[in-house]
Amino acid sequence: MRAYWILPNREQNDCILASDGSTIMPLRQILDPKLRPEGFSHGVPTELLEKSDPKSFAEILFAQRFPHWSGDRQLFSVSTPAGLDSSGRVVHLGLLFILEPHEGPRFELPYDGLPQTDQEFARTLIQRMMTSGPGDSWVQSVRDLSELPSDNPATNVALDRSVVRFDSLYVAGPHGLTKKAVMWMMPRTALTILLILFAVVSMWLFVRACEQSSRIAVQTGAMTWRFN
Amino acid sequence: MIPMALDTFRAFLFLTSFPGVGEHVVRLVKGVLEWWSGKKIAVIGPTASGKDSFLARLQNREIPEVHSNSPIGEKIKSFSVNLALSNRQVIDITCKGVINIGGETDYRDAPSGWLSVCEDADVIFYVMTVNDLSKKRFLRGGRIRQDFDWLQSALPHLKQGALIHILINKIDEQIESHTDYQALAEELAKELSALDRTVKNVLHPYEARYTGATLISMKNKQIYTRAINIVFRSVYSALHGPAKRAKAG
Repeated sequence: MRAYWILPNREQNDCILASDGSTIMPLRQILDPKLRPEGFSHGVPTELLEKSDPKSFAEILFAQRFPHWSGDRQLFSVSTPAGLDSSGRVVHLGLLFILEPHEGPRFELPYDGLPQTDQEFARTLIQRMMTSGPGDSWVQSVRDLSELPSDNPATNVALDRSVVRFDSLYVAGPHGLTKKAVMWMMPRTALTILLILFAVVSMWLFVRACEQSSRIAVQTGAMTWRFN
Repeated sequence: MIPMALDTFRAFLFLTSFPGVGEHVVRLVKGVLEWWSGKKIAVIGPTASGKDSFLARLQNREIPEVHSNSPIGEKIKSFSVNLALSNRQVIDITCKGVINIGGETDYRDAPSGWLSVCEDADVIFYVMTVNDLSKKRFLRGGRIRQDFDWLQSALPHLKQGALIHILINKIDEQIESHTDYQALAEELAKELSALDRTVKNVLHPYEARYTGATLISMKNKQIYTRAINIVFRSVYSALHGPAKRAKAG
């Protein structure tokens, strides 16, 4: 596992900065823009901020998972609002994980080498991910995403405006997160198997119904006749 | 607050009447409203140049108090643009398929970044600031110049005939920080001329796709309204004007 901080762009720089916890470098040195998965976000999408109560911005966690990003390696990221830039816009602190197959993210990255302003946000993010219970639905959604047995790009929260379509587990609203129905959270392969099973059972029932159809029709007719 | 806004607007009117600045103001051409209807636009530019504010203004919304630097490409639903012109005409058009994306170079250079949002656009608005202009960031090595280089290399992959218009945002801040508007106008005229030359040189052989640059303020509604009218007309005029855009293909 390799893990990096994606730093808030407070100074409105031309490139996004990242850190391994001690050294600060351009994000493009870690994640070549040309290899960036489509739909990758370095922060919390604006639509999630718009759907949420501004008083609870600090609680928001947005996570993305790109299985098979580079061969079998996967990309996992978590971001949270981290204050404002010089124009008063919300900026974001992120954690980026480059994971081997079947590896999960471990939230153990140091933050001492981050700019002073970012350290508090980093500490809070790490503490929440390490210690928060299931009562913190945002943290839970990130954990659920990291354990999702899916081969498709996925996000913890559904996005309506993303140019790229993601599988997702939760829906955001003014009162926080709501878990989607179980069917939507199933991986596509499981859904396909379920649909095939359903089709087979339906066919079997149809064939049986056809075999017995003449008898049923007679019985029905008889019944109708009696009632009349 | 209001008198200040009025003063800023008057100063803007003065600037736009100045030779070298005012030539960006063109007459309303018949057909401009119909031409714009249903056009697909892309808004690109460096971070904090005013892309989100521009979209809010186009949608006739106030610039939201809480907004974010855009960390992901977002689709924006079709919306109507209603703008009353001074000559009692009304621009009433629908913008379809607007896509907004972040301004950092990481987004520009990603395959799913600027290229993917621009590839179907009829008109690409490149938003920069007056500060970029005065700091000459459009000259070699500067961020704006890099973006123009990117546009030049991207143009063959974009929709045939796609047009590029530059919006130079935050003119209100320049006006408010100056008292000698004559000097400001002269300075702006020089810088705008240098920008025009640079864009045409960099975009060659696609320079005909460039429809000009317009000073604007997303924050000051009066300036915005005036300037966006100019933009709508300029893009149309550049396409249908006497020069004809023979090279635009």
